[in-house]
Amino acid sequence: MATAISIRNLVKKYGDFTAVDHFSIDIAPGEFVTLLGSSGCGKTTVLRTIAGFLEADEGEIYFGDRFMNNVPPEKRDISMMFQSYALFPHKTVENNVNFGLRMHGASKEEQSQKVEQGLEMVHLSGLNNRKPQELSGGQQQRVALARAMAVTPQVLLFDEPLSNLDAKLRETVRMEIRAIQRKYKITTVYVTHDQEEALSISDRVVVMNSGHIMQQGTPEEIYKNPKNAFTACFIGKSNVLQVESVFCKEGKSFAKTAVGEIEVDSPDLKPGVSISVRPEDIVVHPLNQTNVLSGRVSNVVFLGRYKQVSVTSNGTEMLVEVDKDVEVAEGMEITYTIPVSCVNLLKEE
Amino acid sequence: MKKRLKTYLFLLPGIGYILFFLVVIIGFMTMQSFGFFNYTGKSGFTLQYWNSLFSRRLLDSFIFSLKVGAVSSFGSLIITYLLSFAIKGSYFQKTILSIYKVPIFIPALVGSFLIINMFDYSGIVNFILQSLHIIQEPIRFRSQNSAFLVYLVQIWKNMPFQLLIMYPAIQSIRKDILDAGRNLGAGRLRLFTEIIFPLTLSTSLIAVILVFIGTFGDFAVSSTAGPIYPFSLSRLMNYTAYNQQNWGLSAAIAVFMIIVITALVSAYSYLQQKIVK
Amino acid sequence: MDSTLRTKKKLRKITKIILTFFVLQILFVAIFIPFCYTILWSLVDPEVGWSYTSLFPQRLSFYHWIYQFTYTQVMQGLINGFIIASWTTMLTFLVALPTSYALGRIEIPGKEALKIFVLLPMVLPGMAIAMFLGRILFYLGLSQTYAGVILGHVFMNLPFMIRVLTVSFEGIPQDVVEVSAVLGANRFQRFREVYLPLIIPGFFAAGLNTFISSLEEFDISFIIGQPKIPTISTILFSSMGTNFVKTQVSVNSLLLIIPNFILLFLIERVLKQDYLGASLGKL
Repeated sequence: MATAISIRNLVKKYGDFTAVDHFSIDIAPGEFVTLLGSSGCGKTTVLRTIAGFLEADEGEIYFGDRFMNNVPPEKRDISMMFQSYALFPHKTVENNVNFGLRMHGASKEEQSQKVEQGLEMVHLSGLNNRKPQELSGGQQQRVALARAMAVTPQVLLFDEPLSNLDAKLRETVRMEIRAIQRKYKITTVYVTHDQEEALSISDRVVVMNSGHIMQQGTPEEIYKNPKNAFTACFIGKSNVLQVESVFCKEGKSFAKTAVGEIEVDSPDLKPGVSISVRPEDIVVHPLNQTNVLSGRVSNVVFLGRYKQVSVTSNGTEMLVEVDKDVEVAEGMEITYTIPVSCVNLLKEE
Repeated sequence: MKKRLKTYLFLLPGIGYILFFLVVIIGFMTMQSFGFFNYTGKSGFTLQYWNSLFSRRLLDSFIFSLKVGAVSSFGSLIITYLLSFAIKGSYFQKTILSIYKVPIFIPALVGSFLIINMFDYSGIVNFILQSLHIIQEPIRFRSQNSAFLVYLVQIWKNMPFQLLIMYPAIQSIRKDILDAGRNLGAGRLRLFTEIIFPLTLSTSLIAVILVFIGTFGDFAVSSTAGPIYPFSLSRLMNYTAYNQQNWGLSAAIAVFMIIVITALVSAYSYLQQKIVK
Repeated sequence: MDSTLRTKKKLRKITKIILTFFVLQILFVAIFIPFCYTILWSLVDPEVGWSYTSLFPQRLSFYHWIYQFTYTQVMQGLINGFIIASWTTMLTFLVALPTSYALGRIEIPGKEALKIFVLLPMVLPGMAIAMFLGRILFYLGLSQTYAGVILGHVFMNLPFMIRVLTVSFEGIPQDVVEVSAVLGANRFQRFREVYLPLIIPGFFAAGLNTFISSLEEFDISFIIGQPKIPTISTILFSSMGTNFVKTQVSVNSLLLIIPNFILLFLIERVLKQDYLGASLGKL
């Protein structure tokens, strides 16, 4: 099939509140798509609609060619991993993992075979007879994954599965999830609010806000070329400046902004648009002299790998990152450059 | 040391009262069953009452009481589950639940009468059945050799109690676990047998055992709504003592009932332990 | 597509309405109708009667109510019931209080076993206990006395009272007690100012329950109290025997329910929590 999942103009409301507002997406088979956003942006609503726990107010959902809007969750051929794992507390690991198989009428041999495979895949072989309460958080999470995978689903849904794990574990597990997904080429829809997670494992990231898609693309695309101020600031950090006026000098175009004049290389440059620059791209104490801006350091925060410096130029604050060994202090006057290639024009409002 | 004394002193009234009366009553019962404290004849150790215990009459009463216990407890449980699901899916849940709890506060005797009244030969049930031409002649619910009315009264009285403790238990099942079940393909029946029932098993056990024991040892309802034969065990015990003046045999029946109940309670705790494992 | 969605939503709503209707229907048939039927019977006019051919009685009158109160022992039964219930509740509370305190706040080896032991009177057959306790009281000369009946009632109600009070005591935060001691309260004052107020809800729940259950108690009142001390339950039972007069019995039954409802109302009003369900559920 051309697309594994197609959503057209999905709308979901709760009373007066619109959780999802005309959401459309086409997901290719084997693609790993992440819905990224903060609480209330609608990402979980979309996921639960795909799973069948919520009904769309408007819009259609297709799995391939099959129209799914009226199909109840137990009849959809998809698996879901819940944020709370939702393991059956009264069943052993074995009976948790083979639950889906039993519901689909698999034979006893098939059941135990698939359970062994599943547990091996998540490195939990031998824990068949334990109860969920006896396992650690990370182990429970992996049992939930094995349970979801055991039925060899066409589509895998993840609802913030790592939020209950500590940071180190989160990194390892998300890589494992990605590895498994790649190996079995399962179409995956993943929901999270953690950007690093989204960027590290997805084929495509869909940034959501207030029920809308703000931008979607590969991790590199949305990081390097944010199209609007929301994406620019939500993903990583950005300094966003309004272009007050435009002028030319020596064949290059410049934008006049609150902090000064900045060279911009874009055909869409005009007054009123905004540009964004990432703090790590700004060069402090530049060697060359073009595009030099100056300001006073208002705050320095030591973050280990780098120092985050707030610089005030003409009343506007810019965030700059410098190497951890660079000498900066509050009150210092410094100069900095914004390299042309790092200036990003925000095409949308 | 002083603290120990204080503890015992504090425990004494309540525990002491119960212990004292229990020992005295059960002791007295047991001794009577072995022939002591005989009012009508000579007092002395004898096994005659125990030997005559397992008569046809007693066995019939025993089975009768067991049946009443089983139907009242398990029948109510099934209705309780069904009703819980029905209430969960309807409006006005809180109000409905409070009205359903009414029979708990109505004495068993009154409940017995309320229902007997309706099923009387000239009562409203017969009236309606006849008006709808379902039957020609009114049915004699009451004097037949059937425990139908007893079952009805006991379910009427005890189902609300079971509802009272089962409903919160059912409500407390986490929604995401039910979602996970559905996601993995479980239809409604499967959801019940695989998830809902196992997770509420502990509470259902309590519901069943309490109602079973209560209705097994019942006197009032089976005396007023029950058939002419057989008597419930309690009624037989009472009859044997007051009408037949055979207190020794009556005491044996009483001790027998207590042994059966003890066995049931042990079975219950054994099952509860197994669940916790 | 939208129309199927809308019909599905309508179906959802209709199912909810049908379920509500179904549930209410059962309520109606199981509770409302029996009540009304009995109430109607208690109001039947003796001149006209209520023939089985009509759905409703032809004429209503309070005759039977008045008759019961004037010519039978019903009045005495009500008074006895209240006397016995009041004494029972008070005594049960006093006997249970220290024990519940100990079970609720003191570390005792085998506490769980004790808690289960305390429930024993509840599982034993009431008639057996009534009969043999009756015999013992007869020997002690307490048969057919208020004291005898009350002793029996206290025995049957101690389990529940201890249970609820223990839970109440357990729920008192230790630091509140300690603060009061630090602020200078001696043992007596601590009890009065800290413990007592905090167990009042539990006491209300258990106390009301004990009162009601003593009012409607049958086995013990029948065996030990009769015939000198009639209660509404025993009168009701007797009237359901061979001289079964529907009108009479209807009045008696209703008399037995009325105190329940009044007290039930009080429970729901005074306590905002579902104490009954919670404490029963904790068994």
